[in-house]
Amino acid sequence: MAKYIIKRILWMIPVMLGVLIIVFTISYLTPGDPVITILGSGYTPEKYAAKAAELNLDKGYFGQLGSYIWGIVTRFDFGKSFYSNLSITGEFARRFPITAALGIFGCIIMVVLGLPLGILSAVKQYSVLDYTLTVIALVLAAMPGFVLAILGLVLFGVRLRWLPITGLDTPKSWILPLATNAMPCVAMIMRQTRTNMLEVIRQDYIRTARSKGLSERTILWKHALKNCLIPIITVTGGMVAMVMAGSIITENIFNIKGMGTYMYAAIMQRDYPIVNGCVLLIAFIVCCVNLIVDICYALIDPRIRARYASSGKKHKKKAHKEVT
Amino acid sequence: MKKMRSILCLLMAVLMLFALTACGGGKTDGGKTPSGEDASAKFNPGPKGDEKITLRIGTTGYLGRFLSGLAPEESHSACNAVFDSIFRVDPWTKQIKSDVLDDWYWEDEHHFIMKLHDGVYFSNGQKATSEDLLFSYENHQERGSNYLSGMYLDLDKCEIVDDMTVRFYCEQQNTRISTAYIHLYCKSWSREVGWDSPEWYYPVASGAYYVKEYVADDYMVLHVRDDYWKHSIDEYYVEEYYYKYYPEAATLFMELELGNLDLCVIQSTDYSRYMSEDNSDKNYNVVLDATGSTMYMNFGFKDHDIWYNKDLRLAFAYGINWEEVGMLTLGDFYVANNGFAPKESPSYYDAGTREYDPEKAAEYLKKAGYEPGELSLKACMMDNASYKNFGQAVKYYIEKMGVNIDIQYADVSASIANWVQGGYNNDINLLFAAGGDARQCVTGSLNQANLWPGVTFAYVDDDHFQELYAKLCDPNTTQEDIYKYEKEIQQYIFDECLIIPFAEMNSAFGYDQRVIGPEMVKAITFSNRYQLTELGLRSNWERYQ
Repeated sequence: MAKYIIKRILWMIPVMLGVLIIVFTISYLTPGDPVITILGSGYTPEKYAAKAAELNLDKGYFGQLGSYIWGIVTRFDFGKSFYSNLSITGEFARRFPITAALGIFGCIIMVVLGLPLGILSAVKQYSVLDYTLTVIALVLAAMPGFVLAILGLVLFGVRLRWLPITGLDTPKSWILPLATNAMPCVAMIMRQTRTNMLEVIRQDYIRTARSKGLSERTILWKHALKNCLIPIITVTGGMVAMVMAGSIITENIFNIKGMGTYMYAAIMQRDYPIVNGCVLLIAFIVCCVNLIVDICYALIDPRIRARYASSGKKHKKKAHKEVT
Repeated sequence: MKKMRSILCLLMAVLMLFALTACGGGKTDGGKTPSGEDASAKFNPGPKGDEKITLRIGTTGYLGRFLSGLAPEESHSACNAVFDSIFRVDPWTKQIKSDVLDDWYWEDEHHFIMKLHDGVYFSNGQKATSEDLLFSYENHQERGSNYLSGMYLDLDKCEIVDDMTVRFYCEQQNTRISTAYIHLYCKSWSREVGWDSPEWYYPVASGAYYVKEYVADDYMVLHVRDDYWKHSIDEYYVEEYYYKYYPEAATLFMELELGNLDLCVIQSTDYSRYMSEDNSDKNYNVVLDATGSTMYMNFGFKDHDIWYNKDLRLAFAYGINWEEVGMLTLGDFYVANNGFAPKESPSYYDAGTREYDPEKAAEYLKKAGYEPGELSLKACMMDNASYKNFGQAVKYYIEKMGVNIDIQYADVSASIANWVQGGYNNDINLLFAAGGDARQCVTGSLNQANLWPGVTFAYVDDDHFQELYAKLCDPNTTQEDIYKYEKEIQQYIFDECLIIPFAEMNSAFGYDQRVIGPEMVKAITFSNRYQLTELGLRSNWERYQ
């Protein structure tokens, strides 16, 4: 198992390098010139050249890419913002905890609400509750996050004045951003859980468990849930990435100073070092989540564990044979 | 299935109700203050006794370092509070004034003299000298900012006369040298920290306010100085400015509605509904203010000989319904104007109107030597919503005239590069809004019309026009003569159809009526910026009490 985890971690290196090269190339090829954006219309060739040199944009593609990778690998230095001249790594340190907190709480809500509601919907199939939950899930999944956010803001913030509309200063101020971030994901998890649960509870081993006289609760939580968790975990992993990417909309609308607002402002200003850094960070988080998902598979499903164990033994046997 | 359908219907109904409640239908609670009091009872802005206030300003512009002349723009407003301006426009008289100079004048054709006031002190206690004055211009060249463009300044030939006097050398006389917002920088401190230093978030400056707190991309607090060289702290009513950055304009206006902001700029026509509403019983209101510049279409004389044909220009003047185009582009912000100064400006002049007449346009096109479908044009525009609306509307009319037009939409940097380098071969510029000029004069609006190496389409290649323009720019021309020449040039432009103006540029400012009045907002704002130094003074608030 440990070998498997190490192997997966090592695989992250080429993945991250690939992402880095792709992101850098895209921003390099994007039309528009940050030097002109900064200088405005009154620049001269000399001013242009000086600014380009200052921003390290006077080198060729490989020169720029090489120094960028070198900075990240050796000093964890993503460079400086073209505009504010502040260190991007420093800004990440200030902003990432905010986005991470929003993301983590969002994921908790997503699982805590989505899973039980999905189970409930499956167990009470074709009931009013099931229909209601299915329709709610459909609406939430179909509604774009920014629409939900604006409606929530206008209704609960401006009209009713129950909740603050910006920042994360008070516990109350977390409600709307978290709801915007988590609700579409809750709907997805709920629908996934319901579908899987319906499939599992019709299996023979569930019927066997019932005939053995086990309580419905034990059957549901111990036998059925465990077996339908794999696809749910897969979807949940994907949702984490969605929550991270969704932070751009949520943070901008609710004026939260996290990675989302940072990245949005950078995109609008063509502040490439920030955009590249943010994409890399998100890619890294997605890789980590995928790793966690894979580990969870192994923890939940003994067949997967056994496969790794047997492949390890086979490997050992093969090596032993070669030696003898 | 039936049950599911009925539940779906029910839920849809609930959702619609939710959306209706959120987006309209019901009356807002704008008439109440956050504490539940009746807002109208508090509509009495201005200082009472010795009280001081904190003014909360919301902005969608990115907050940057206090280095004027560089992006991002929004810090420039705050720069006006932190630095003293060498020149700026007096919000009350619309005339040029200086915070730090005792005198300024043209010594001869090339030399412009500035005499610094003896007794200007920076926040580090250092006294300002002519070294600092000269450096305040030099640093723009050093940093590559475009603030010196149009000044024809040769800094190598500038000289320090004495401790308080600098003799600037200009290739030719111009008004730009005494109208551009240049701030007084402390040379020794600037040299000590360098241009890349984060110290520029808390600069040493000679202005009335200092930066008390700065959180990048979030907010900043400017606090009045107790050792300001010009005014005592008691003369200030606004003790602090709290600048808050909002990446999303919708949230900014909700904050204004909720009473969490006192002042903000409304840049988008999306929010022009605020202006059409009757806000008299609410805590917030919106005021429309001319930026000083006008919107016009100009022809690319510099690159294309076709525009020397007056008949062709007239075909465009008659063939496009400018009123329709203006309304489509600006919505509630639209104020028709066929001159080059806002209607409220003394420089405003109505030279005449050419009503939309497609038949006349066809005649002129034929007279110019073009059959329908024969002429093809290219243009490049910025890809924001207003420009796109404008582009589509104008394209419709131009094509209706029988002229083919290909419009390329590009982002800001690509557009500017295109305009400067002529990369897209601009035959025509469809929309040009010159940078706002608080003096609200014709030259301010017709910025770059005399600059041959400037923006490709801005130059107007007509001798008489250039002659009149030069008279307007001549610093020795009296104000009375300026008004005379302004009328003359506007009439000449109309008669010769050299440029087609169709609307004046306006900014809308949202404000909390319980804190500030509309006259004050109009006075201290121009072109999306604020004159915070003036806004802070108690005496200025008392003008409108």
